[in-house]
Amino acid sequence: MLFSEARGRAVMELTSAETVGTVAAVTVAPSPARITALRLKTRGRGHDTLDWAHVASFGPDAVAVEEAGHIRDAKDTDRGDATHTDHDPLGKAVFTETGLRRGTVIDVEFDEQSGDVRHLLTDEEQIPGADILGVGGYAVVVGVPRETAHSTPS
Amino acid sequence: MTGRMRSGEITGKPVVTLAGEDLGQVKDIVFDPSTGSIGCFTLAGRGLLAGPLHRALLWRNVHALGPDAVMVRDASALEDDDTAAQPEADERGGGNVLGIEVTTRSGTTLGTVTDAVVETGRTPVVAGYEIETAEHRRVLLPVAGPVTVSRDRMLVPDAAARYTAGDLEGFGAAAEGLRDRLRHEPEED
Repeated sequence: MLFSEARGRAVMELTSAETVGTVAAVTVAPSPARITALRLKTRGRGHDTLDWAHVASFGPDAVAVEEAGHIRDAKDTDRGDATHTDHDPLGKAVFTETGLRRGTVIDVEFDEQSGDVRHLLTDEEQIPGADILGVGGYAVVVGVPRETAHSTPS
Repeated sequence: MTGRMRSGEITGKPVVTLAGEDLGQVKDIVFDPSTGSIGCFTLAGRGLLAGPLHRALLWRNVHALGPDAVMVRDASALEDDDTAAQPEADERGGGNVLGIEVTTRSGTTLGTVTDAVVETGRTPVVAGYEIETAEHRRVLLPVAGPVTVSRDRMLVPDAAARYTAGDLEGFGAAAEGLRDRLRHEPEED
């Protein structure tokens, strides 16, 4: 499914049936390309980082978490961590590892069972998750096959 | 299949790690006067008010040079300081090849170097130079491999003068022509 469809979905705690927040953003790590965490919009409670490992199920109307205690504070996450907000791909510039700009990420297509990222969608194309080399604070870097390292004819 | 650009166009390009972090932007290009190639880049921080970073990026530590960014493996690709960018005592003008005279091996002066032509990609190389002739015309002069550079001039094969191009589009054919020519009729080194 597309992350744009998941944004705004309620996150509920299974022990209390309460809504603890809504899905606001996502962080992605490469090799294998996967969602590392969901960033939640909460009512000022601060607890806003839900590691994918703690997602009990990703349903069509709500995301379930066993207990809200699993949800961490983003401010406790350091920059090296795969769940740091730096690793949110949405809105980032895409560069190939050979230094060619390839548009801007506008959406993430992922498997709601496994959290695997199937594609990054840019304003120009779909980039397979397997091509992602890095999602950083500045850009998303993707690999290119050696034969077609450059599309510019010489 | 490679693209080409003038070395001056590299200035201002972001330096990006494969993990997607930016380390700064290219400030200056420092040539290696012994080979006529690029020795290193100096970097500046990104943003309007950012100053110099005082950390050099050696040419050999560039992962790939593209039309939109200089890619490096990670932050360790940068030197801890910018001594690599400092001119050595016996070099003139900061080890720059810009502004020096280009002369053929048989002794004809073609003009002065105003820029270098760089082939982009995973193994970027200086493929030629932009020179300004005595008639103030700018032409692109291909080279095939390292050139001999002294503090007085850069020496190029006689054949190079016959394979110049007016723009980057024509440069590929000119470089190919020179390579063919030197393969069939090598000049003395």
